[in-house]
Amino acid sequence: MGTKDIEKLLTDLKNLPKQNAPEDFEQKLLMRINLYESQKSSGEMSFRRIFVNYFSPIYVPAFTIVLVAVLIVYTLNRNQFKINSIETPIEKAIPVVQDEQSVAKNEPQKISVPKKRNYVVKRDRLKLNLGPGVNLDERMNYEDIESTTPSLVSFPITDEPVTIRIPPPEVIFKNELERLNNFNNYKDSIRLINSRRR
Amino acid sequence: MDKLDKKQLAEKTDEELILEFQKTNSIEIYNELVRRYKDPLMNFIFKFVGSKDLAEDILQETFFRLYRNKDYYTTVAKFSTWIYTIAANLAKTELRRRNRRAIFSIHGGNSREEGEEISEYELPDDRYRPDIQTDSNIKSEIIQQALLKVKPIYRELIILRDIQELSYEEIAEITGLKIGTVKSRINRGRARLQELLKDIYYE
Repeated sequence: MGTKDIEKLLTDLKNLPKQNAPEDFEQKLLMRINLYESQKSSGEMSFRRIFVNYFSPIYVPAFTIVLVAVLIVYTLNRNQFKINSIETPIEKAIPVVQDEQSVAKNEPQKISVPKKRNYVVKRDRLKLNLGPGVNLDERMNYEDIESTTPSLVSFPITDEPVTIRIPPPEVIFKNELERLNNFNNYKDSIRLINSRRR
Repeated sequence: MDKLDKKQLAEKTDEELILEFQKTNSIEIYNELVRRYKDPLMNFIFKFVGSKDLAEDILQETFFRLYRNKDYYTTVAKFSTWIYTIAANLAKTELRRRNRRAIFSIHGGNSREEGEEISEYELPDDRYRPDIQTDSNIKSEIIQQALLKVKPIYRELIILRDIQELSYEEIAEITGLKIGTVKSRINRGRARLQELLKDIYYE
C-alpha cells in the first residue's frame, strides 16, 4: 500500500457520513435537567439547602464550644451515675467494716489468732510436779476471743493430757514488751524500797 | 437578566457563553452551547463506540455533566477541548464496561492482541471478501467497522484528527498526551486501519 492509499483512506475518513444527534435530543436533555432541578429543590437536596442557608463560619467556634461542653457534662454525669449506682452496696458494707475495726481498736489486748496457727502441745501434767488443785494459768494473759473451745478456755484438772495454745511470736513479743514497760515504770519505786531497806 | 436573542448568542464565542452560563445559569445560553456541539460530539462518540443508542446516551450524559459541573470550567482550556474531554472519557468508560461484559459472554476463551477491541464486531464478516464490489455506503460501513477494530487508544486519536479534524494541539489537550505521542499514535492507528482495509484499497 502506498501514499495514494493513505490519502484515499484519509479522504474516506473525512467523508464518512456524519452522525447527527436525534431531533428530540434537546427535549430529552431538558426533561432530564428539569427532573434534576426538581429533585434538587425538593427532597434529596433539602438537607443540603438548609445547611447551606443557615451555615455560617461564625457559628463554627460557638458550635464547637457547645458541643465540647455538652460532652463534658454528659461524661461527668455518666460517671456520677456510675458512682451512685455502686454507692448503695458500699454504704451497706461500710458499717460492718467499721464495727469490726472499732472492736479491734477498743480491745487491743484481745487478739484473734487464726486457726492455722493453733499449735497443740500435749503435755504430761505429772512431769510438772505441781500437785492437784494448782491452777495452771498457762495462758499468760493471752485469751483467744474467737476460740470457744471449752478445753482451751479452762484447763481441765484431770490426768488427761493438757492442751496448751501457744500464741504466735508477735503476740509473745508484744507481751514481753509490755512486761518490760511495766518493769521500767516500777523501777524507781523498787530502788526506793531497796534504799530504805539499806 | 436580560433575555438574549438567538442572534446575540450566535455571535458570542464558546468561552464567552460558558462564562455567561456560569454567572447566570441561563438555559438559553446552555441551549446555544448544546446546539453548537451536539452534532460534532454525536459524530465523534458514534464513531468511537459504534452504536447509535449508546452514543446518544453518552451525548446526553455529556451535556448533563456540562450543566451540572459548569463551575468546574476554567478559561485555561478551550471550551471545545473541555467538552470533548468529557465526552471521550465517558465513551471510554462505557466501552470498557461493555468489553468487560463481553469477555464473560461470547468471547470468553478467545485470545487476542492486548487492547484490541472485543465486541460483537469481531464475529466473521463476509463484507471483507475481496470479490465484493463496494459502493459508497457499503465502503463507509466497512471503514466504520474497521475503525472499531482498531485499539481505542489509536481510534480516539484518528477520529479526532481525521474525522473531526481537530489540531494536534487540541487533541493533545483533550487526551492529556504530548503532541509527539499524539502524532506517533495517529500514524500507528492509520497503519493498522490500512491493514484492516487492505482489500478495499488494493490496487
